[in-house]
Amino acid sequence: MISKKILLGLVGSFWWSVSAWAADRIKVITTLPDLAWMVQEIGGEFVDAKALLRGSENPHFVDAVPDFIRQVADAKVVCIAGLDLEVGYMPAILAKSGNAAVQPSGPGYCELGRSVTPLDKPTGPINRSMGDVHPMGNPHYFLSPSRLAEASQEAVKALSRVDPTHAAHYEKAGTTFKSRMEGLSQEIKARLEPFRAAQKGQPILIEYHKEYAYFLAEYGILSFGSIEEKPGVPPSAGRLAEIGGSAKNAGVKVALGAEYNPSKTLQRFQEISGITTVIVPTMIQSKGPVTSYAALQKHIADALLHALQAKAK
Amino acid sequence: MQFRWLMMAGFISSPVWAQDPSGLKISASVDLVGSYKADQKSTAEDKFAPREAEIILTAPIDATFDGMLSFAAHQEEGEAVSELHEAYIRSSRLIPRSNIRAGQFFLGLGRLNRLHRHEWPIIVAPKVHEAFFGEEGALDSGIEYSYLAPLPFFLETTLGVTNGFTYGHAHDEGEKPKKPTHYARIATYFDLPAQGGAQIALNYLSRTDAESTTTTLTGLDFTAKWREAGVLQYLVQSEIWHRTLTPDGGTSEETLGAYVLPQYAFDAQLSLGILIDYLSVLSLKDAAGNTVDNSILGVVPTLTYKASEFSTLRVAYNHSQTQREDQADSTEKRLELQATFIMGAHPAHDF
Repeated sequence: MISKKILLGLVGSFWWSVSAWAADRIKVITTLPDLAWMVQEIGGEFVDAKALLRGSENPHFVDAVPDFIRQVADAKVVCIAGLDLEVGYMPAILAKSGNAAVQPSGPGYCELGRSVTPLDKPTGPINRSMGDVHPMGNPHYFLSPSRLAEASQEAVKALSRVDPTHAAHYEKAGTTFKSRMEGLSQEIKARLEPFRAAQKGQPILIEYHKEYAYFLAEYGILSFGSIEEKPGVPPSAGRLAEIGGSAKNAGVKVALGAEYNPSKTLQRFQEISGITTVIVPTMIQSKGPVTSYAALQKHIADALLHALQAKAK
Repeated sequence: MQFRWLMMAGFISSPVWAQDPSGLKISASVDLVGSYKADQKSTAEDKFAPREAEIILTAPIDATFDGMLSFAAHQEEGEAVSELHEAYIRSSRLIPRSNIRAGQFFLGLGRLNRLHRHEWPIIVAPKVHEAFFGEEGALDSGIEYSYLAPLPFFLETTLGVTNGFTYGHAHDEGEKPKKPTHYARIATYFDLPAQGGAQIALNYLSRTDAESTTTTLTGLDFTAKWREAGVLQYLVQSEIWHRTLTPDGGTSEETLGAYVLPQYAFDAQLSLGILIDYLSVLSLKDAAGNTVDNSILGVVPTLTYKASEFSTLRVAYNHSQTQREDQADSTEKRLELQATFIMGAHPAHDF
């Protein structure tokens, strides 16, 4: 079983390397699958984009896996989400790769978050007693089509730097991508109209961790806040009781969590508050119902609507 | 006088420097340990005290090089010692697919020797590590080069040469060796089912000191991790080492040691590991020249609580048995405690 997986991995990696080389395509490595999808959409036939993560991981806590180092060593462009999301592992991966072109000072380094207008950017002094606060703002912007479109500007710049002969193509594809994201945003916004209507000016949704903040902001969905008292710190029993009670009293109907959030904590919150917990992916995944960005957006929207309808019955 | 280095480090780490826009990152780690008798025969000191405090500075130097500097103060035989720990220049931008570093550093060999002690998943070094590398690790000045092969799988080769005047963790100048310390490590990585991965590496080190005693180490290190939902659910870490000490014209001494540490996480903060630790002098002989069976076997269950990656509390029960065919067995039982914390910037973790 193991040897079969290893063999498949080797063959897949080898094929990816050879096919990119044979077609003379730009090898792009991204951290997250959504970013790989976006770069592939912009790069088209001139680019082979691949993500390090599979989409089911917690993007805050990932090991600097040696195979990631190898993939980055082979890449011409490396795109990260930025805003300190990957600060725990990407600096080590980049440094170990021995690839000067993709280091932060190199032409192939692409920090997509630089073009994004961040949410939740702390205004006062911050320190670690406040939890895992991101000084540059909330890094989970890739769940918002319009923010992902903003981020795509950095991908266009990076691809144009390393492949100036196709710069016009990347520029045009970037513009097209933005239009497509606007269209997708309108479509999901219309889909979520019943959820917005049910709010009646008051939040009816709570998040476990504020990783859906951009998604909610994109579609005009209000958030009661997060179950976590401090970002990245598992809530205590006291916090669960307190937030569960206050969310219930405020008429919150849905709790939104990611697959990698602690399931026992979410289950306990549901028991305390009676609020339905909805678990959805935060990234495109290699298999299952959300293998494309549009499918991911629709999946989250439908999960929210379904939970609301079930609550109404 | 002993705190001269730390005073200098304190000045460097003042807030003015900490806000330097050049990319300077400063962190301080503190490692407190305690050891208490679990039976009357134990030699534990029954006290809890700082084992080590370290200040680490890292920064890009220019477009080609990065720099690393660390100062440490630690207890050695009841005395506080302050010293320059690591100081090296390194680059991953000079030669394609390569990392090079020059200066004073912990040798890029094995598993524990490549990690700072506050990053270890255990409190006290396994017996094989202590015997072959010292309590903390083998530190020396020299040059080290790593190359990542252009293959469809991870294969990294590390070669290093250091002065070799001293070996392990020494506080004297040592003497010019006949052959400097030279070493090599070849590491590969493979995926495991259920989002797991494992790294395995072969290691070699040799040195001939001023008295013409040649030390040769060969070893294998293995680390496997399974991370689920951002939590390091399972860790298996192991090293096995063989050492040959050959004095000039004398008989070689051969020693074999190994440890294995399986660790399971109950949740993001609480984990339990069991260190199984073994060391034996294979060439030990009695006065008649007969081989004498001997071994030290340790079993150390260790409970770890991590409030975050910046603070760790540990408690361990250390049970070790020394057995030698021609002597009575002896047992050491002690309770160990550890508290570590990191302030300021913290560099990204390797696998």
